[in-house]
Amino acid sequence: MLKVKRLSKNFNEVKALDRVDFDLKKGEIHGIIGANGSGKSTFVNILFGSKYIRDTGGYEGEIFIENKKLDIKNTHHAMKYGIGMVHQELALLGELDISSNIKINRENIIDKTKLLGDFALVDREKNETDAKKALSKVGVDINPRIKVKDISTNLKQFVEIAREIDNDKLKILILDEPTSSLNIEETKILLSNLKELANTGISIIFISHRLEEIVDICHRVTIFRDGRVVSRYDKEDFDINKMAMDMIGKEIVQVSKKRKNNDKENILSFKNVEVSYGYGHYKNISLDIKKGEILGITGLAGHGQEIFGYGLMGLYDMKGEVIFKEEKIIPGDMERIIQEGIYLLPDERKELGLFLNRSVWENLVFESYDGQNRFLKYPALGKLSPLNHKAIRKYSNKMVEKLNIKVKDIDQKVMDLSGGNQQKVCIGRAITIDPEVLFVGEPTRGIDLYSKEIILDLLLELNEERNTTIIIFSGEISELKRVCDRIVVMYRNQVFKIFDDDFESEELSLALSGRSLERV
Amino acid sequence: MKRLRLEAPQLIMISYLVILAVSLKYIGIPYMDMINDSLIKWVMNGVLVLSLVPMINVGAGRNFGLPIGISAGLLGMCIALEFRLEGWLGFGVSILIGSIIAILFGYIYSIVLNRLKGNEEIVGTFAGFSFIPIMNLFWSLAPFKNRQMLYPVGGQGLRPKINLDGYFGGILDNFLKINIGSLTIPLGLIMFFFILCFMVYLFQRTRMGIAMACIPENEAFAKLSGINIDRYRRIAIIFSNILAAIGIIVYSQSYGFIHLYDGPFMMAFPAVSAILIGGATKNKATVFNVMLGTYLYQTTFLLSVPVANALLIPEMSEIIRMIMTNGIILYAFLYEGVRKRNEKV
Repeated sequence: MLKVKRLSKNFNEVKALDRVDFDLKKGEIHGIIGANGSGKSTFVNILFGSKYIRDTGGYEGEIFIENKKLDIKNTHHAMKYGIGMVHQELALLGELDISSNIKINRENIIDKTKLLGDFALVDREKNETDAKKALSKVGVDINPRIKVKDISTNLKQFVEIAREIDNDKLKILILDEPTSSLNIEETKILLSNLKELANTGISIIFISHRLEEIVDICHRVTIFRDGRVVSRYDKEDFDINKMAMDMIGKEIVQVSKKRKNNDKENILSFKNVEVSYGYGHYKNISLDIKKGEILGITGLAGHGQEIFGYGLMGLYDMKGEVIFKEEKIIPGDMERIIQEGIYLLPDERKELGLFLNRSVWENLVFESYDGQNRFLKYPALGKLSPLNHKAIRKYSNKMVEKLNIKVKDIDQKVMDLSGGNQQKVCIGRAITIDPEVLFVGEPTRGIDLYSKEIILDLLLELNEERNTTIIIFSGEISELKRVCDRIVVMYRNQVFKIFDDDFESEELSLALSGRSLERV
Repeated sequence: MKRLRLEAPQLIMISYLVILAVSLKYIGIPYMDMINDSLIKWVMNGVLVLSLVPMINVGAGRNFGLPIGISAGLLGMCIALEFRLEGWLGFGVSILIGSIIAILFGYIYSIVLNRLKGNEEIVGTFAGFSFIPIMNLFWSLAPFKNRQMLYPVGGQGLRPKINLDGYFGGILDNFLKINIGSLTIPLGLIMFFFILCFMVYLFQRTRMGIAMACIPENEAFAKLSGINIDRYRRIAIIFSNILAAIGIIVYSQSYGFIHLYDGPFMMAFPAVSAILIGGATKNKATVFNVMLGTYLYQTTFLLSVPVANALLIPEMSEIIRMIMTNGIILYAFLYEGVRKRNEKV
């Protein structure tokens, strides 16, 4: 089906891809795995004719589809050759309904108006039936008249895949981390439907960080490291440990926390607060956070694992009594909250947690000056003091080294870093600010296995050395189980159950879907 | 570390300037006079252009509502004149009173702009325009008593152009003037401008200035970091208005008149145009942008007047002026739009 020979791509001096050979059979699901920055995104971007590739000087090497040599000049070309791609970032039109999104640019036309060319009338009903058919292929049953902005992120992911499947010219489907925003059950549905799709003769390139999924559905797996193909496995030879080794080049040590006893005082309490976000309004939510603990908050997507952090920091509208060290604080009063020593690293770090256009050092020390007086030249001047660049640069260099952030120098823009390194910068800033209570959202989302452990380890270190209370809200339950003292399970935006140590119990899995042992 | 980058607008202006300078030779206008004039024009308008910087950097857009700050400065001068304050005292009191009024006006203006985030430029344009009639009402009704300021006939209402001779007309222009041959350098004037520029530069380097510059880049993150965005915006808007008030006072002492009524009407566009030529973007402007842009813009017009008058019809220079001023603003909008679209693909 698809054959790639000696594909290379340079960004300035850096070799992003180095003579990659790759082939894809008809009806095959081919997994691509690799650490962040290993070149897998560059590879699929070349296949899909991304503008970014062309702007940076194009690629070298040859690409064949069905033994015909092609030159993929742009995205339009790629689609014509039957390549479809679903990006990690969703690209849908929120104001249009689902069927219009799926049928966009391939609308069915009412026959009688065909003469009018571009002004022909669109056959909505046929569009809707087509859309329903495409959606059912990925295992979703939903009214295609609903506007896309009104459905959840998870569903949007399905709509996006359905849009590509609906293209009857589709031969090759590229999926970039399609499951990263899905929960376990949704993932299962998607994966089984992908298998069926492959059986109909469509070839799929499947990129994921989750090795279990790869092993589950792929026929073959190619592993990228530093822009090269390091190994390739057939279904019979799959071995997760070996694959992980190949990916990173060294063995991964999984971090875990030695659990401390929990008879500590409360540091932060939410008492019957009300939270509203989106269209929802939720009442009577209470939670006590204990001093020095690592608290995990989890739940299925959309069930409110983030409401405490986001509500307190004013991203969601929160009302009610919040007690911090026996004093009342007002949610959303950011100046005070930060001064008291509460800080949030949000899960949308590119949108809310970083200045992408600014340098690493600026991001590391931003507004940390209240605690770090030495960063100001004349601290007595308060907010009108210039910065002490010498001290900041020295500190930033030290931080970069300590956190093992891979950068050219500290003046490099954060935008150019990989996801893992960006997250390290965020955590670096949290360490600089040195809060008493730190909320962290999805600390390991979009980050490769190796960097994940480093990040979790950093959080553990912060907790142990400085006794920082850390609240992690995340859907990665297995990680929470390893690092947390307690885990809170959220269900329908309420605290459903709090687990102290029996993390492995069946109850925790049941709680995620709002069930408990007694009631079953 | 800093790179001096000249982009299309600057290059076009510079080449236009060179063409004008060459053609001057054929018309027979001495260069020295032009250079002397260009220095005065530079500073005369420079402070007004400088006043745009704080607002641009805080993300409140290019201040098309410049007439608001200007009105504060005009009012300051009128009050100083009412008490017949002359020389440095008059100049100083004008700045002081003008700044105090600018704080008040800026505060009100900031309330409006903070409610309408994202639309500051269009709102500012309308706020500026609608502010002028209100001030017109004030100028014609205000109980000023100094006869030199009032309409010669009737004795009520301020006259449109008040002569500053005998008060503080040209006070900065003539301060520390250095003559080298036929070249005259108004050192006092330039120094005053540089001091203000340096203050703005220093402010940008402070903790507050840096935090302000971060706001347009990622407002949500800035807020999460404990920055009170509305307060910072208010401070920047007030700062801009104070500079605008000082700007019009500097302008007036060079001009020799206080130009009331519709005088401030069209002052925002040349200033915005100048800072854009200097290379400022929607969210980022430096003192260097101000200095370069103002000089290029003002000198171009200074030179184009005699050239256009000699080569074309006499009215041509004013027409060219309008085309360039507004054309550059339009170019900047287009350029931003195109770049934004390219980033998304």
